Amino acid sequence: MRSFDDARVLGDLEQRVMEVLWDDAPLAVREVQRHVGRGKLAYTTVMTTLDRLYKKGLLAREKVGLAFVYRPAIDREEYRRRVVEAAVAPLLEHGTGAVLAAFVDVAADISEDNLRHLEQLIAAKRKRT
Amino acid sequence: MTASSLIGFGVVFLLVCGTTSALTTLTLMARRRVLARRGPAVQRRGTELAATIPALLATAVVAILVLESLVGTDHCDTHGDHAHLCLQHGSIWIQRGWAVVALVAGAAVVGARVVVLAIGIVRGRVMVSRLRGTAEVSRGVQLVESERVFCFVAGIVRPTIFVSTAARSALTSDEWDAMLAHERSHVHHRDLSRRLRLELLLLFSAPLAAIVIREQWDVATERLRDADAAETVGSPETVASALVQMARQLTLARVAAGAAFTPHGEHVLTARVESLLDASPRGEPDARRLTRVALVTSTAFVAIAAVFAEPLHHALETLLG
Repeated sequence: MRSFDDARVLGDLEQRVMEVLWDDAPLAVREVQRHVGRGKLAYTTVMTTLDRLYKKGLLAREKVGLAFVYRPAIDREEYRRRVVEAAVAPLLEHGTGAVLAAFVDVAADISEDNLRHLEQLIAAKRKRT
Repeated sequence: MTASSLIGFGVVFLLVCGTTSALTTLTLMARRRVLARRGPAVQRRGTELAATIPALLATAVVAILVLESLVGTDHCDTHGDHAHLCLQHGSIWIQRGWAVVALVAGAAVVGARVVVLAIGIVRGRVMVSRLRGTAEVSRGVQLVESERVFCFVAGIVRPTIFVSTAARSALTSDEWDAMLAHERSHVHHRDLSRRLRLELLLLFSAPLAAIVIREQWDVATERLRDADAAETVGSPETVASALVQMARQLTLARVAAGAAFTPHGEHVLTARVESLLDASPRGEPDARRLTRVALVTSTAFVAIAAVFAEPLHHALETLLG
């Protein structure tokens, strides 16, 4: 199974399939096809997409009779959180100075003493003005 | 003209560019405190000049030597003991192993820097576009639902402000306005485009010079934007307070994650806060003066090189050839 980092970006069809399953699960391939494709998508296309999402760890499945039924392995909020994390972490942690200017360096590690000292300076300045 | 005759000119470019870059960077380091005291505008101009002058001077010197070889006195027949900086008679450079190695090494360093820069830009663009897809637009900024505390401007062509909901809730309303004023100033002044131009010039810098120049440019630019934000919200203390509050949240997050304390960025934060509270000058008149001095000095250098093109030409080929 691929890590979330590899799988973080979904294609258009994958996104639509996930939306369907977040709204209404579990569903069999035929039911997903009905919701997503409105009869225009081939059964095998939907099946392949579901299988891909399962391999990405975004869907869980179980066999009911002869067919698989699928449900989301993570909820919509968790998925969104992971997408944000996957996008933000490399941006902030690996330094992309040419494309990013941060208000405060995210790698900054300031001692409590220094923070308190700076706060005192600000408070003193506020008192004076 | 043969391709191998260009090797000599390439070596001269490397020599002049590398030497000038090392000298300007050392000067920048030695005058660091003075520039910082004079104001962020002059500090930033100093770094930009340190990045620009070496490449310009080296190009000018090579152009003078090429012209001299084309229109000057052809002395190549009178001494055959060294390789000539000459488009017609310079093919012997290919036999100078060290020159070929130096040129290949120089080209490899520049090539590697181009690749690193390109990867950083492409990767950054991809990440930014993914982030854009998850954010909600609120008051002209992209508000990202995240427990991470961050606020930054990203995007060279279309700079955009990204702020996390965690940052939103960590700040008071006044601090939030101050932080956004700082970021909007980055967008207004197109700082990321300017930073990219700096990066392109740094492709030709001496080893380690880029680190010094980048670091000083970043600090100076942040100080400038802090000053802009202070002017916008009418309170330098509020900008300083937003900085300290954001730094505190980042440090708390690191502690919560169980990371060991590794002091980093303390002097930068302290310098920014003190600069705000002391109402330090921006240093714009000094920045203009510094540019004029650099222009006059560089022009004088090029003029002297042009006037003494023949002895310079001969001295360099005696030294290198």
